[in-house]
Amino acid sequence: MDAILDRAIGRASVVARWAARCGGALLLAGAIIVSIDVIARKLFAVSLGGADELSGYAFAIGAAWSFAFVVLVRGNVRVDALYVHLPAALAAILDLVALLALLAFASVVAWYGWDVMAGSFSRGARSNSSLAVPLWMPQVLWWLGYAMFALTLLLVIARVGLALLLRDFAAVSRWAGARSTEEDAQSEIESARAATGVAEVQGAR
Amino acid sequence: MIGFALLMLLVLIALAIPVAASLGVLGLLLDRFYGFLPLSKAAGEVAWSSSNEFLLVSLPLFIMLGEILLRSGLAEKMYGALVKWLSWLPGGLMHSNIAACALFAATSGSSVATAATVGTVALPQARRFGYNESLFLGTLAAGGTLGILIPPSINMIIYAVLTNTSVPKLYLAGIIPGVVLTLLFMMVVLTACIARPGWGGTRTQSTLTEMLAGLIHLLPPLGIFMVVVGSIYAGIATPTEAASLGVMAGLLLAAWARRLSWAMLGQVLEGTMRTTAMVMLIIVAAYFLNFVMSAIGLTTRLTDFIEGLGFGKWEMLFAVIVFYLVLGCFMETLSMMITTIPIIAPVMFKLGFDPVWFGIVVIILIEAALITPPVGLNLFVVQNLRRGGPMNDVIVGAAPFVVSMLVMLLLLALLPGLALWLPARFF
Repeated sequence: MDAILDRAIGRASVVARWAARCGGALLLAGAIIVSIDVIARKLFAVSLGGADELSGYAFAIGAAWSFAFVVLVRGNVRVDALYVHLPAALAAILDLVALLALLAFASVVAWYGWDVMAGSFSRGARSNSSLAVPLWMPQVLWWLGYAMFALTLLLVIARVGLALLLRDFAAVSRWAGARSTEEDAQSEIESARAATGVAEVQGAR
Repeated sequence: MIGFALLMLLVLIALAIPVAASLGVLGLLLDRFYGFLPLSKAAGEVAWSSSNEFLLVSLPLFIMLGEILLRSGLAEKMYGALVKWLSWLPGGLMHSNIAACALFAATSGSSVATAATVGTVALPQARRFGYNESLFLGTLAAGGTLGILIPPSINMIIYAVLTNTSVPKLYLAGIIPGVVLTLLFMMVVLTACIARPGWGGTRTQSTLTEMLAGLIHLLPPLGIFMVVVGSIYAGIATPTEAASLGVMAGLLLAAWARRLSWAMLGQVLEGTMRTTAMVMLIIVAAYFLNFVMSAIGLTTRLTDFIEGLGFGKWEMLFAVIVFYLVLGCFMETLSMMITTIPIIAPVMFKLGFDPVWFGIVVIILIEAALITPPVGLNLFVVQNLRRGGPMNDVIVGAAPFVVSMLVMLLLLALLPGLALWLPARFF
C-alpha cells in the first residue's frame, strides 16, 4: 500500500514540478509581452493594449499551478519555534493536522472557485477592457491549479495518515515535516553556490 | 470575538500549521461562528480577484529577476571590484561586504538572496586574510538585509498592496535611509577595527589602474538599477512594467556572461514559482481573512481596541517597534507583515504618521527581524555558508548591526525628511 502511494506521489511530483515550470514560463511570457508593450509605447507611441491584463492572468494561473509543487517540496511557511521541541509522535500528528488545515482552505477555494468560473461562463462575462476576454477562459486554467493543489494534498494526507498508523514518524517527517529555518537557509545557499560556482573552492578547503 | 480570534490564530500558528492555512482556517471559523451570511462563499471570488491584481504581478517578477541575477555571475565580479576600492580601510573586506550588499540590493528585492549571494562570494576570504570571523559573518548577515530597504524591494511592494501606498514613493523613500544605514554599518566595522586592530585582517593595497579597471564590473548592477528603478521615475513604466523590463535586462546580462541555458532557465522558473506560490497562498488566505474580518466588524473592533489603549502618537510608535522586534524573533518576515500590517497600519495613519514614512520604519524592523535569533533567516543563511563553527558567532557578530538599525529608526523619528524628502522632490 505504502509502495503504491509512494509511486503515486513520485508521479505527482513530476507533474507538479512541470506544472510549476509551465506556470513560470507563462509568467515569463507575460513579462515579455509587457516589456514589448512598454518599448512600443515609448518608441513608436503605439500600445498593444491589454498586456497588463494578460500578465495578470498569467500570474494568477502560474501561482495556482505551483501550489501543488510547494506542498511536495514542503515549502509552506510554518512557525516551528514550538514544533522543534516536541516529541516525534506529536510533531507527526501536527504534520497531519497541518496538511488537513491546508486542505480545508484549498478545498473551500476550489469549491467556490468553480462557481466563479461557472458563473462567468453562464453569464458570458467578459473582462472590462479592450480585449474583452471571456473570463471563464483564464478562470478555468486558474481553477485547475487549485484542483490539483487539493488532490495533491489528499494524496499526501493518505500517505502521511498511513505512516502515522504504522507509527513510522520518519516517513511522516519526510513527506510533511516542517522545514527548519536551517533547511531553508541551506536551499537558499545551494542555489547561490550552484550559480556562482564557489562550491569547488569551499569543497577544496 | 477579538479574544477568540487572536487566541485561535496564536494556537494555529504555534502548532506549526502553515501560516497560509492558519489564516484561511481562521477565516472559515470566524465565518462559521460570527458570520450572518455564509461569507466563505466569497472565497473563490476573493482568491481570483486578489491573484490577478496588476501591481502584485511585480512580486513574482522581482523574485524571477533575483533568481536570474544570482545565476548571471554579476556578484563575483562586482565584489572583486569593490574589494579593490574599499579594502584599504580599517576592517578591509568587511567594508566590501557591506558595500557589495548595498549595491546588490539595488538590483535585488530580497534580503535573503542578497546575503546568500554576497556571502557565497565573500566568505572564502574571511579565513584566508585572518579576519575576526564573528564580525565578518555579521557584516554579511546584516548587509544582506539592505536588500529590502534599497529599491527594488519585494517587502515594499507587499506593504504598498496592503496599505494602498504608492510603490514609486516607497522606493524613493528607501534610498536615503538605505545609504545612511549602509554608512552606519560601515561605522560599526570602522569603530570595531580601530578599537581592536587585530580584527581587521591583513589589508591589501590595489593600484589605481586596478581600481579603475574594476569600475566596469559595477556597470551591470547600476544598469539593472536604472532599468528597474530609473524607468519608473523617467515616467516610462509602472512598477510592474519596470520589473518586466528588469527581467529582460537580467536575461540579456546572463546571456552576455554566457550563463544562459535551458537548464539555468528551468532552475530560474522553478525557484521563482516556488517562492511565488508560497507567498501568494499566504496573500490569498490573508485577503480572505481580512474580507471575513471586516464583514463581521472585527477589523473595526480591533482598531477601536488598539486606539482604546489610549496611547499617544509616540508611545504607540514605541509599542509598535517593540512589538515587531519581539515578533520578529519568532516569525518569518513575510508572514509577519501580511498578518499584522492590515491591522496596525490604519491605526498608525490615523495617529498622523505618514504612510510612506511608516513603510520605511516597518522595512527596517523587518531587517532587524532577519538577524535576530532564534528565527532570523539571514543568520541561518550565513551560518550555513561557513560549514561549521557555532551559530553563536553569527548571532554575536550581527548584534551590533541591530543597534545600528535602532539608531536608524531614531534618526527617522527625529528627521522624517530622511525618508520623505526625496519622494517630495518627485511627486
